Amino acid sequence: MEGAAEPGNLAGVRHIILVLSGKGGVGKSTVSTELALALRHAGKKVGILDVDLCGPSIPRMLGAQGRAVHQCDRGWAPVFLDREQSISLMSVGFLLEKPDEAVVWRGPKKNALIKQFVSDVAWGELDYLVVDTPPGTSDEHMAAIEALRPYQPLGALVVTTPQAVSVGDVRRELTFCRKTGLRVMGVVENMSGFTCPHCAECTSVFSRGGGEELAQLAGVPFLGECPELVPGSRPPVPSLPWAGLTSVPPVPEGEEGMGAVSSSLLGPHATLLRPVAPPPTPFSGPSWVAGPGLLGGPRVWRWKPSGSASVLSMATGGSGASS
Amino acid sequence: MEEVPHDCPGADSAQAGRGASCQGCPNQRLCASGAGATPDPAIEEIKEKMKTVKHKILVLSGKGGVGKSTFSAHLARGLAEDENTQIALLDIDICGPSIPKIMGLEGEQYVEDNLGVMSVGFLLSSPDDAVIWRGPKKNGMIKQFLRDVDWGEVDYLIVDTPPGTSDEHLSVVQYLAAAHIDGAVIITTPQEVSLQDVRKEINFCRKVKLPIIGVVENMSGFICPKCKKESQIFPPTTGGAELMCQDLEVPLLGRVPLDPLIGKNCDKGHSFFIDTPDSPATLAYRSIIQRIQEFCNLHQSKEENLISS
Repeated sequence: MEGAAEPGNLAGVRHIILVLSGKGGVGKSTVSTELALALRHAGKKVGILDVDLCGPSIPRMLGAQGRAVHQCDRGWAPVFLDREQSISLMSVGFLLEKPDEAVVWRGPKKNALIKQFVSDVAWGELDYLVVDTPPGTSDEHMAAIEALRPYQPLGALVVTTPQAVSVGDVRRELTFCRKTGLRVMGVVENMSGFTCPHCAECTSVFSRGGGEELAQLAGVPFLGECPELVPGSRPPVPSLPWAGLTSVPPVPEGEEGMGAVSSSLLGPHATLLRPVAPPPTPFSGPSWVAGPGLLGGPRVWRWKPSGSASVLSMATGGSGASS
Repeated sequence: MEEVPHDCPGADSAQAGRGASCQGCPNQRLCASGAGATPDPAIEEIKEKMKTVKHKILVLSGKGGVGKSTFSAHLARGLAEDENTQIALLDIDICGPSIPKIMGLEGEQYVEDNLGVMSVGFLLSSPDDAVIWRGPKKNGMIKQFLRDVDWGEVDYLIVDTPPGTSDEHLSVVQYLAAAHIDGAVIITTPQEVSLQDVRKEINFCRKVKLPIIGVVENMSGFICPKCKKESQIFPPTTGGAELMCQDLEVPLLGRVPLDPLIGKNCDKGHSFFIDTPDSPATLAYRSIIQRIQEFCNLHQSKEENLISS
């Protein structure tokens, strides 16, 4: 496999980030979507490539179901969410005749489509391409990494939930990253806790501690915990009209939410995390930072400080990396 | 198993051995001769092996993380409470084998005398070992599980699957085709992001003519341990499993609420039924398990009537 990037449809993409997890249902697509929106909010042009062929969630999460993929002179045009073309998407979801149609393909056919997604989609000039993957360590992952390898992906964000059953699967994903030479930028722990809308008590519905344990095992930064959205704050996402930049869901301001991860990727002042005071009890006190969430409701995030330098400087071989 | 070319059209496709990507493949001659089109002899061998297995149930979901393994484990434990029933739990999630952990097994394969488990997890020497296999190799493993494991006299074989509609699912349906599967239990959570994948799974079942026992809606409602009021962590904004089941005409077997102790027990490998016998989730599981047993018994007596008539 050649090391240099061949001129191709990914030549104009500056950074490629994969979002992985050995475990299903931990929130890879949610994290991919939020990261892309946060990066866009920071003024970047972002693409999302959804290589989950059996369960493509990205179109629905961004209200883009039913959109069609058109041909252009360089191949397939990605689906744009807005006139400014600041977010573009590609997913098998756009290629299905009916939304409930099942993609019942064996590995080789899945590999072929993923290769096409990488080589034939005219991504154009992008600052970031976020690649959302299905759970596991199989055909889709190998195909995506092989196809993306000439373009030197920045690395992978690994998502887990706190429970040991999840960590048990995600450890294997970390081995996969090691074996395929994909740098793990950090671990995100999703669904860390749920705040009761009636009494504001926060419960760990999926146990505790998995994300940190995983990050320690792998010697990678623990990027933080994301609890559940406060219920009732998640209205159904309407399909976006073509003219709909204003209907793109609001994103966290500044350093909050996934903005913290995105700002860790951006610029010379990027720091991995905003330092927070240790909370007196979990999920309460000054360490909580509230901000508008993906779909307009309040989203509460808690980020732990890290001694390491920014994720970006780690990726480019800068100093201070703790791993 | 040898590596197949990346664009392999498939040994049983019309292009087998004839496609451009077949050049240089060691199996090219074999495929081109049409050998791939003949049924795999393993299917008959598995049919023989499965003669001692009374009921076979697949636990499926298009969506990951909805609780297939958790449900499979509880179904197995629930059925195994009758000491006269022999239960086998087969985990064909090759990349993410959760069953050994959920059942509290570290290599030994019997949870109780009448509850045995098989998983690729037992074959891995370290918890960090990753199974990085393409489809054909995974299919080979599943074939071995079905054909080469000495299942013995089993009343219920429960097969836990990974998320999706791909190699593992096609293989298990294909290899058990002659042995007859009672049906599939499909797991979902209430939100539309899950339902849209689960509808695909239901269509998959219909495509491969796999009977659907019913749908279980997991993580359906959460009772706050402090104020005891219910709220929805995964809101059913499009009607949840109930509406989907009505639309697609499949039975809704039941709803299991989200009890944080389920996750904790799975992490420790303990039985949720023993540790929290009075939880609403326990009651929900038991009711669903009973409905599954009724389906299997009804199906069995229909078959016996057919044979005797």
